[in-house]
Amino acid sequence: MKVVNGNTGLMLRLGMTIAALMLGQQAMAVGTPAGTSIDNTVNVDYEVDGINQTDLTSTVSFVVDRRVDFTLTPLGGALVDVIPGANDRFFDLLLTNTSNSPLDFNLLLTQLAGGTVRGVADTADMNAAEYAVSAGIFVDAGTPGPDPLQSGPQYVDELPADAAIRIRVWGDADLALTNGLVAGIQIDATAAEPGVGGTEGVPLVDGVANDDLTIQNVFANAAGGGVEDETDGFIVVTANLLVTKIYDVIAGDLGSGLPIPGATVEYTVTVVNSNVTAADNVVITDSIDGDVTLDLNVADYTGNDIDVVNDVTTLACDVEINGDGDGCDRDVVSGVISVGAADLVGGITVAAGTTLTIRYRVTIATP
Amino acid sequence: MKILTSLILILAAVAAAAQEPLEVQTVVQKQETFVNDAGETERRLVAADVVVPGERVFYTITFTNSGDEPADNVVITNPIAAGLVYIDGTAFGPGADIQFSVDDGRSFAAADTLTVTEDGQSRAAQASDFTHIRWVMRSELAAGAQATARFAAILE
Repeated sequence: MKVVNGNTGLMLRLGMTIAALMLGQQAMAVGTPAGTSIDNTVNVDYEVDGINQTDLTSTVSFVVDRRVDFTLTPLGGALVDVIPGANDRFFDLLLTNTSNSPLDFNLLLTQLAGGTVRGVADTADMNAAEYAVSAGIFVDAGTPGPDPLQSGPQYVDELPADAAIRIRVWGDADLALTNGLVAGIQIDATAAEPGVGGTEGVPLVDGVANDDLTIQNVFANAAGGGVEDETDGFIVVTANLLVTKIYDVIAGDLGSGLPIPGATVEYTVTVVNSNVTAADNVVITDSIDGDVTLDLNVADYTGNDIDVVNDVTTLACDVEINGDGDGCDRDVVSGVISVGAADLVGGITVAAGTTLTIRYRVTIATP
Repeated sequence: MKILTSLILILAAVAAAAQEPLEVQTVVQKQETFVNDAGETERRLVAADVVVPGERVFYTITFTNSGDEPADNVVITNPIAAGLVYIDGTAFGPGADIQFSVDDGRSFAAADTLTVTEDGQSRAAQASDFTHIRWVMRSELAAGAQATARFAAILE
């Protein structure tokens, strides 16, 4: 803070008036900008023996110091699902400068080693964890600014007062990660000296009393000290498939209920996904024993050789692709049933909590 | 002889003006809280070395008549600087009538009589509407006497 005191002349008063007019035009969304000189000028008019005397003026000034305040908050509402082997999964944080000054910010990424993230214990790390900031400020009410690029800057440069910027954290999930593991990552943001665009400023230090030549820093951020940290993370989710196969003797058993020669046996294969993530591109193959023959065009199977029900929906055959004339691409090739490899466009997806059921019938050969 | 007398009177007037028998000084401070020896929280005014938006600053204007003659009709006018908002009820000045302006100092009146027009409607002026404060001394300031005026404002 700099104090000026004493009687002032016309030129100085004019200068102060001009400065006051300029100041009045500045935006003050987060307070009077740091570095602004607040000039208070008092005027004294008086008389002596009825004769008006020259007015006196006295001015005292102080420089507005820097109130360092900012927030760092996750943009997502939950841990980010990540599948083992997935690369470049990410979450975003929003850094908002509520100071009365532009600021640089130093950033630091740390993988949690224990502790919790979003109330869940940290139990894993991500591979190749990295971060970058957006090339533009975050516009809250409109376009949210450009997405950060993995090759983007790793510090925040000259973030204006009352502006926000997006920080993105990426990570790769190791293929060995198992369902339910959680990887928390912490980002530390440290307020740093602004003023030189394109150069990462040094961390701010708390103001030193009676230093009247420079703008002093007063840390007002919630965590104090001009440093805020925030943690978010990833949760490993995998499909958990349980496959069972049973058979029923449904005909030709001469009332025995036994799979005797000439009997018709129906196999039912069920695939249950008991997890929270869908299993995609599911392919089921089943070898048909050489002593049985696949029943074709089973009426109960809506005209198909093999009945496929994905939870509650019967899947129709796709377009004939192998030219055997049955109009269905679920075929038996060399005694192997294959469902899914060429089934539907993009294969079969077994959604979380659903069951895929495959049925087919065979007749046991008679000697 | 008459010319000489006039010249002496003129020189005397110049000397009186140069003396500026009234001296004025302004000090700005801010308020801080501290814990006294008894463990109680108290407030005190300290030098406004570090001031950030949201803090209160206190201005104290001291004027002293160091001349040999009383000063009459003393009027102290203080524009409220840009970036500051006057805090209602803080203007203080013993022996003075305190007036405010809401029109950049063109007119002054007691705070509770001022109005402003907003969206075509007239309403009572608020502290944030004040642009100037004026202290009008009710009586002369005797030779050697000192008086004080004070007000507080918040830094936007």
